Amino acid sequence: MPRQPNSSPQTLRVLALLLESPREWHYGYGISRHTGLAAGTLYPILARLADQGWVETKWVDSPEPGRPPRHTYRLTGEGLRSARAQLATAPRALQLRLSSTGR
Amino acid sequence: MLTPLDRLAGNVARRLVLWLASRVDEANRVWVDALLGDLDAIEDAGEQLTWAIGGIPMLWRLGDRRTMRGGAYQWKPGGWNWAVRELALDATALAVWWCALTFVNASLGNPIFWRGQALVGIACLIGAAAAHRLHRVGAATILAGYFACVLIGASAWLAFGVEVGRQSFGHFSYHIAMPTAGFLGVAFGLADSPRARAMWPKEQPAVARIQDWLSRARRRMGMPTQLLAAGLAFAIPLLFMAFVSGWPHLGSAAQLLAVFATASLGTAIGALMGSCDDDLLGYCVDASRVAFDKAFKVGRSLMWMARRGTLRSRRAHSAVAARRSGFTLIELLIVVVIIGILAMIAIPRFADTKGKAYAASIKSDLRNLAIAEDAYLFDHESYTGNLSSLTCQTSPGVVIMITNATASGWSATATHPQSYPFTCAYFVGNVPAQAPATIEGIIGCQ
Repeated sequence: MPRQPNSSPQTLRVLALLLESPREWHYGYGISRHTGLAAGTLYPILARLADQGWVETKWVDSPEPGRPPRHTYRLTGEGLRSARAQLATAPRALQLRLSSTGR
Repeated sequence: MLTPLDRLAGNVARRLVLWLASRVDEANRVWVDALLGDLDAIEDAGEQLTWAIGGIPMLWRLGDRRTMRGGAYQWKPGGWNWAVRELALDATALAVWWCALTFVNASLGNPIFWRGQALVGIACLIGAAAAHRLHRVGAATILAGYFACVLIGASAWLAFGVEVGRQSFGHFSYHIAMPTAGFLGVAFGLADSPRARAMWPKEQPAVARIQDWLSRARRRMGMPTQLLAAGLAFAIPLLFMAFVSGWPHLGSAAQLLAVFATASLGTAIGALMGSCDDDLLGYCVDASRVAFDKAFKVGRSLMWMARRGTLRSRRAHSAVAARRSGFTLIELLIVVVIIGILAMIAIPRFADTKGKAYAASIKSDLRNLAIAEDAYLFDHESYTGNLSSLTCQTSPGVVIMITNATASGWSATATHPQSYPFTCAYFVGNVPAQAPATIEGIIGCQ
């Protein structure tokens, strides 16, 4: 059965988190903490979303000197629309889980 | 204040990220840089290391991005990332499987199994690998895998069946049947998985027909019926083989049960593996990351405790507990695998414990006999070869034979059918040495 793009529970968790404050820039580590996803799962998801134009990325200089810049993420206009549609059509059980844990 | 463990963890984390950066291609380097940027923003060294370890699956998840094809996502084969993931899946299958076999056999107390352990493991590897290749290659590989299993089963029998002195066709078929049953079970279970459906070459009509048939059969049956059917499917040929070979050892219900259980387990594992849409190795890494996280926190607490005599970081511990409540299937499987490996190491060590206990009862009986003989000598001025004239009780199963008895000495041997070592002997006085005892007055065993 063909699968909808970006419909895995992990991707939906990332989308749900980004949707909570759509205009803010999010750090990868912060997203990981809130969604419970490991880096190895999270960055490929972000990479895919960025490839598809759902997410835009920006490098931010670290406030402390000598530390590397940090990569930040937020939804694009298209991503916002698609993410809302995606979450609305997600299975009911998954939606409940996303909302009940605040993820 | 940083402990040496903190410094080590931070150091290892950075090295790991550098290694990751060297392994991904140019286009994906930016994502490893992102990982590194976040790594440096983390305060806790242990957390840094778990963050870096959690990034390892990026190696293959970034490597072959899913591509859209005909509205469905499909894995893009090719490249070493692909090969590594395939290999990892096979290895996981093997481990799970080997473990299942170990448990079934250990629970039935099959003595030969421990000797043939390694070879049966290899047979499983071939079975699991072939079952996995089935996704893409088709029926020829299944057959090749099957015959390889049979071949290794036969070698196992030749190498170990003969050695223990029980040359029976029963063991031969047993070594074939176990790997085969599990292997076909896994193949059957995997056949209808989403992975299989995505990978099977649809352009070959024969393969497509087999797949359709398997899919329909599996969907119609439901899991319990499938397990039952898989078990029966292997129990019946086994019965036939047993019949042909004249029912030597194979007629035993325990062995049939073992084959039945292996086939069922194989099907269950195959179905579970098949229902995992993502890569198993990724889950394993995630699970070990969590385990490592816990181990690290405990280790650091202990180090602090040793340093200042107090247990610190209760907060850190509860944070871990809050983040994870419960275990995933994969974590449980890993635990089962580890227990299996431990059991594999431990059980042969304890296998002859019972035998040694019987040997101890033999020695004790010989010592009692010596006391009784001395008492007899005191009364009759001679030792006796007649056991019934002595006030001496033997332990159940122990057979004592007084081989020589004169007025100036006596000797005896004692055995027990399940003892290890099997025979002990004792002699005293002016009689020839009684093997396996070599020194007068000291019990010798063999």
